[in-house]
Amino acid sequence: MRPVTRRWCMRLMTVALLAVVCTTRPAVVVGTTGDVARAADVAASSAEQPQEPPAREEFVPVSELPPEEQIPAAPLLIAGYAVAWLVVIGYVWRLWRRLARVERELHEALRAEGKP
Amino acid sequence: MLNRMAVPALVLGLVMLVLAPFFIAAAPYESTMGLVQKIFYLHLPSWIAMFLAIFVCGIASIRFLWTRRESADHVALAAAELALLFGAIGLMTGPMWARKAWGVWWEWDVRLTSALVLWMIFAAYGLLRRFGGPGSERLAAGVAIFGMANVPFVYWSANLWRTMHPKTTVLPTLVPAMMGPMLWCVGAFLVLFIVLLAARVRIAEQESLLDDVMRAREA
Repeated sequence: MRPVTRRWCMRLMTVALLAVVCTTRPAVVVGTTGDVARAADVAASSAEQPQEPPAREEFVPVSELPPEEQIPAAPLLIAGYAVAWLVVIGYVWRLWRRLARVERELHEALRAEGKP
Repeated sequence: MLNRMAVPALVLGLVMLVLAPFFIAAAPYESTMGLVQKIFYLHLPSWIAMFLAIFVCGIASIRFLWTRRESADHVALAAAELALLFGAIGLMTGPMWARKAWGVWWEWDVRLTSALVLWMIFAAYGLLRRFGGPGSERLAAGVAIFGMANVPFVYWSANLWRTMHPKTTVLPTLVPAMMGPMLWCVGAFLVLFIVLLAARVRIAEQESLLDDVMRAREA
């Protein structure tokens, strides 16, 4: 792109940006009767909504949480131990089979070679 | 050595793991987390075993690159597989604890993410050895050394950066009633680590021997 053309593009983009800023700000700052009415509706509807409980600022022990927020610990604990057990036993079984297979193949290969 | 000692040691490790829940059940409850904190007795030993496996793998890889001895490569390969195994236990038990203690299964914070990345480095090592072809053992040794260099960052990440994970200072502050079961579980995992390492090294040696016999037959 030529420098003159690029400069004009930049000017056009600046003007467009200024136009966007100028058209949005007055609606927020000045407002109209329609805006005021809508704002009143929003305020009324927010007053009707139930107030959210204030955010906790301190640590709450698990035992003091309300029942609906409590997660049962026993299934997680059992699952954790089951996972560890299954992984270890599965690996031991796999190693055992693989060792037996390799030793058998080696034995057969050595026998075919005529070595003990 | 493997034939005489492997089976009794394997039985010892498995029996220790079977008896562990009885000792853990007798341990006192942690005041804020309650029952679910007892996952800790498997979670921490699995990471200790993983870090040990990574150090064994890294040192064996350095030795392999230095001396080009096949025996060092066999140890590195075996230890990398065990790092994946124990890391998988740690990565699966952690979210079960977190679900209760933090309310989420996973959080992309520095400790959890760095531990996952470390596990993935050794998964990459395994893939490299499996599909890398001839010469991949030297490249894999470099990956293992890189993985070993990451361990201190993972270990101290909980102390150095802001994270939900407890700091490393928790362990020395355990009361004796909690420390006993903890040491029992660490012992069980270490016995299993030694036995499984010896068995896996034996497999690597036998496979190497088999390859030599096959090559000699073809030649």
